[in-house]
Amino acid sequence: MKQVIIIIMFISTLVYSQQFKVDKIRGEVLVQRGTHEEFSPLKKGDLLSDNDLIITESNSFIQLDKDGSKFILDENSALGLSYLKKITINELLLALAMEEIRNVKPSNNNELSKNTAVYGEEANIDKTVEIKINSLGVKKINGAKQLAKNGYKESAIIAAKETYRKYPHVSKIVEDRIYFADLLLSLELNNEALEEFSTISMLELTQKQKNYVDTKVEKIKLSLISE
Amino acid sequence: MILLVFLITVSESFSQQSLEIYGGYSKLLSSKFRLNSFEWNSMNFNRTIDWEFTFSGALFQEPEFVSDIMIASIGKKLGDHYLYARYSPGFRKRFLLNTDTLVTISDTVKVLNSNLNYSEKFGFGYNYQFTSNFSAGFSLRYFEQSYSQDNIYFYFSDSVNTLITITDEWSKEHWRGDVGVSYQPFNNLILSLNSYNLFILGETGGFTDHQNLELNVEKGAVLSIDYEPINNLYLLTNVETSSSFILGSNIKLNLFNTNLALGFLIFHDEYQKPFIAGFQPSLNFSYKSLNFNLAATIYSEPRKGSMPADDLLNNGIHNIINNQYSYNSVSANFNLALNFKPEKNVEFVDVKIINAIFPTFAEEYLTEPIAIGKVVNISDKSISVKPSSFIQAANDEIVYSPTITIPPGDTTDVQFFTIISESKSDYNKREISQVDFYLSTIYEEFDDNLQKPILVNDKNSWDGRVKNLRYFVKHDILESNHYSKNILRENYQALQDTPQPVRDFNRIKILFDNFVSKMQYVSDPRASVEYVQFPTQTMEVKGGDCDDLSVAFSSILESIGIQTAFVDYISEDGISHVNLIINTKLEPEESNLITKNDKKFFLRKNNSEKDEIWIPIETTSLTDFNTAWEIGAEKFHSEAIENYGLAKSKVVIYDIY
Amino acid sequence: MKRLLKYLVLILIIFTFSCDEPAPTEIYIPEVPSNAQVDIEVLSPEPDLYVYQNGYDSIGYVAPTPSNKAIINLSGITNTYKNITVKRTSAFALFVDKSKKVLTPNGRLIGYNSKYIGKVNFNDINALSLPYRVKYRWLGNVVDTTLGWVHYFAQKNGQSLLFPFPYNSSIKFKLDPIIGNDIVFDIPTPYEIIGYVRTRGKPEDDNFEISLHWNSMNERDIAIVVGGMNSTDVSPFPLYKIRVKDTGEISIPKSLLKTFPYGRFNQLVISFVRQKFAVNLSTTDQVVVAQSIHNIKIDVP
Repeated sequence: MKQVIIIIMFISTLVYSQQFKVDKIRGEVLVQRGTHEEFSPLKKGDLLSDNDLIITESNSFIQLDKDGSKFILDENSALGLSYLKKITINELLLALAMEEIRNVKPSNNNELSKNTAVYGEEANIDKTVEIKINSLGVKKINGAKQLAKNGYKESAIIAAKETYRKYPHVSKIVEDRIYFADLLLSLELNNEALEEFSTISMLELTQKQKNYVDTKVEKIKLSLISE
Repeated sequence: MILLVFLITVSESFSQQSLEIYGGYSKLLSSKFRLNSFEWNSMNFNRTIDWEFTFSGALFQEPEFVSDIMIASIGKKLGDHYLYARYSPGFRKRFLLNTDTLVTISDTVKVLNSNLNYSEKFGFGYNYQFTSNFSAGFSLRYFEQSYSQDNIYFYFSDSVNTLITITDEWSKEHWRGDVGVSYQPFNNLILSLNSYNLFILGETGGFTDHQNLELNVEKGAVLSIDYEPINNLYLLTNVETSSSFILGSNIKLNLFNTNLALGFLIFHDEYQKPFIAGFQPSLNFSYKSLNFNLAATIYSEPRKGSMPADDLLNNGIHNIINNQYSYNSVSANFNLALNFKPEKNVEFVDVKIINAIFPTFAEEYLTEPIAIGKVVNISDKSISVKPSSFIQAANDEIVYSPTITIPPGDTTDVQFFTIISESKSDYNKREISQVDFYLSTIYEEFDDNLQKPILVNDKNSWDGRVKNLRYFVKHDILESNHYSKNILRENYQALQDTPQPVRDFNRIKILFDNFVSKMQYVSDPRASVEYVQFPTQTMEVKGGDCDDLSVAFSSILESIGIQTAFVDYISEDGISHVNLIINTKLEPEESNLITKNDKKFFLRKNNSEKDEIWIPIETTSLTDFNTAWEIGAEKFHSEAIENYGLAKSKVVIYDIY
Repeated sequence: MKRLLKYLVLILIIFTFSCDEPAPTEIYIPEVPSNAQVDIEVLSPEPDLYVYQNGYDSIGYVAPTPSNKAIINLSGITNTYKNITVKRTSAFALFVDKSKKVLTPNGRLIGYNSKYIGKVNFNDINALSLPYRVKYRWLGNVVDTTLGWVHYFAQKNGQSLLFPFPYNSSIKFKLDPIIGNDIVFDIPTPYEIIGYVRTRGKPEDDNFEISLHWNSMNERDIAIVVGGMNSTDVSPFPLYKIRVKDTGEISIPKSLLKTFPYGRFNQLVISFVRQKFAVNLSTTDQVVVAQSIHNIKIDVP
């Protein structure tokens, strides 16, 4: 019985998948398929689905073909193939709205205690845990920028937002943040851009960046007033 | 036979002096039409009733219409004695003398005014009936007057020169006592004689420089004649020693089986112009113990807006409510006798049962109504309604819901909440019970009640709303806690060896793997949407559908403080699916401690605005934790995120707290 | 029974809160025209700092300190005491640099620096350019200081008039600035005001009344300045200004007369002032005004 269910689920996801084909490839390019943990190398002619994540190392690139249209991912980048599609502004707004929807709603009553049993002793914390700063975040941002440059601006914003949330250290790279804030502005998402620029202004900025961000904030505020 | 009464009264009268705000209907009429006042009290109390209450309100045209309460009074008959007290907040007259002087003091501008206030605050009366046609009595009334004048003074010194405005004030209070007698020689004739300003007592204060502005209290008397020359036609005459007088008549009609009387009078006031200073048409209506009177006072000379002050400055005023500065008015007066019976104030139009009772959702009904009643206020005033209800199969006692106020004549929705009693039943079987709804207002008894059938489900029943699964999670929380602790104790060492940040994650993993090992079957997804097993039942029968398994595993985690939430995958064909997402408490930077694939988790901000890693678990995947996680993640990522399920409400997360 | 009482109390409460209090009946004294609005303002609020005296303008433009950039003031003045009447004409022009404050040693404002910007003449008669002196009090003493320049001409009592004040006409003003072209314009003048003061009673009997009368033109508001003076003083000390409609009569409020500082002054000076502003020339920074002033001095009875 349970196998039946699992199979049904996989089929349902595969049905909606887009097919990509590796058209050209140079250097080391890896793929992480679906929800699997492993990364495996790609070669020309391999097929990919939109559940897959591709990653390029230094001095490498990959060109994908989907129904005749091409997309090149440069070196040191990562891209979930599901982002490689045109989406509407509405869908972008839906995606941005989800950021809020999925937060835990503030609760008033705590009748279910959150600390009923803490098992184990706090003193024995293993301090050797290494939290490796993953270069994947930086690569994903590079990937998102290439999405934007190829006209997938809306997808790029979603990809960047997701990356900034899952890889917080990346969100401190100011130049990239400004890039995506400007991208929001170019889509005339003034409120969203304002929020983004305001957040950026809290980061450590150079004088030049500060001037740039402050000017943007003022301009957006002005344009919001006249709306 | 007509009772011959007598009365007296202390009549007082408003001066001119005897002009009444009730329109001056004949004392001979008062056995049918009752209004309680000093002037007309006696006749009111020839009935068996011993208490009477009168309220009067008036509308003044000045020139905007303004309403005011004129009188609230209470009267009590004790044998041949009649006691009467009244509060007369509307017996007042205020003047504002605008001097047109503006004073500018350091840029602030003040207008200099004079204010003159007269009021009759309250009064007491007593009357004794000596014989059936003769009575006598006295009254005492309390007056307050005040005068204030803004004056400007120049303050001069070496350091500062300034203008200051000071309000100089004077006040005066006094009691006024009068006596009166009333004699009824024939059935159709009443003669009465009343003094005015006979005694001025307890005077305090005074207006010193402005004595001419004090209320004029010249002594005098009024002779009144009430005569019924032919049936149902009444004539009345008041003549005062000041030579002011009133002439009037009433006609009584029997229309629609009620008592109706029309009246009209004219009055001459020595202190007002022209000769006939004004007239009063009136309408009286009497039904059972209630009397209603409408009277207009209309002055011959139009009085609107600002009026010249010279008459006031030279002659003062003789009467507070009827003087050369009084405005036209309409008064509405009610008299209520004691035999008034309280009646129903509110009643049900209908009650709609919103929901069947699901005993496990007990908490839900504290905030969500089980029924909504349509309730109408059939009285003529705003009523506070206390709704209450009693479910025979589920309540120990009557449960009161919040009080609401309904304006007169309005229909309002009233919510009924309930408290499911734990001791009333073990709720093992579904039954149709009765629920009694009650409305109570100011009385102890209910104003209205209504009975409706209601379905009381058994305790495993579920209404199909995923949000309500949380009540099942909470149901066996102690047993789940016991279970979780045992499993974790068995894995004590393994947990000790794991790094602190991933300890919750490892607990989840150990508990899930153990949970799966105890389950033997999965029924079809959402095998029944009407029935959910409690966690202990799922453990006993070793299986269930997605609701049952999600509830059971959620309970296991929640019992040790690990946050979970249900994910409701709503599908258009009706077969939706439920699984769980679980909070690992890991921060985004720590994701690589549990996975290298960022599609396998997603972030939710907690109450302190920090992102935490939550993982989706497919509880029906009875294989192992990693598989259940991968399947859960695949489905969540694809449906909730990629297809915007969350934003489109196709995928809904229900937190359990 | 109880229930009935409750019911009645409830009705009473509902009635009570639903009713408005009727507004007072407005009444007026018929002798006083209803548009006779009176506006009273203190003229000498800080005697410990400024030396107040009624100058040529009589209404406090000069003393203590003007806050306008330019003031051109023409006054036809009549002074009456008992049977004696003297007429004078006064004119002055003052140009102020508002950026230059003149302060007392403890930092309180005395005035602003006034400038010489060129020659001034009125009806082709040159005005004198003189230092603009003001007085203030410092540590109990009266201190003289110069704020700058003022252009004016005036006649002292007894000297012949340069020209009689042309009421209901105009006076030509000319400024020949240090830099730039001449500025010339006509300043319209008002009708002459002729006042009359009638007193009744005495302060010591607490029945002192003063009624004021003047030739009404029913035009703009009239200002009446009440000042105090001693027989030995040269100029009156202004106390307050009453601005009224030009109705021709007014009584000074009795309460004001009650608190007049009789201990300090034994004479009262009532100044009737009719002003005509050159509307097209006046701005918030610049005042051009011609006025007729009748000062009447009376002894306190």
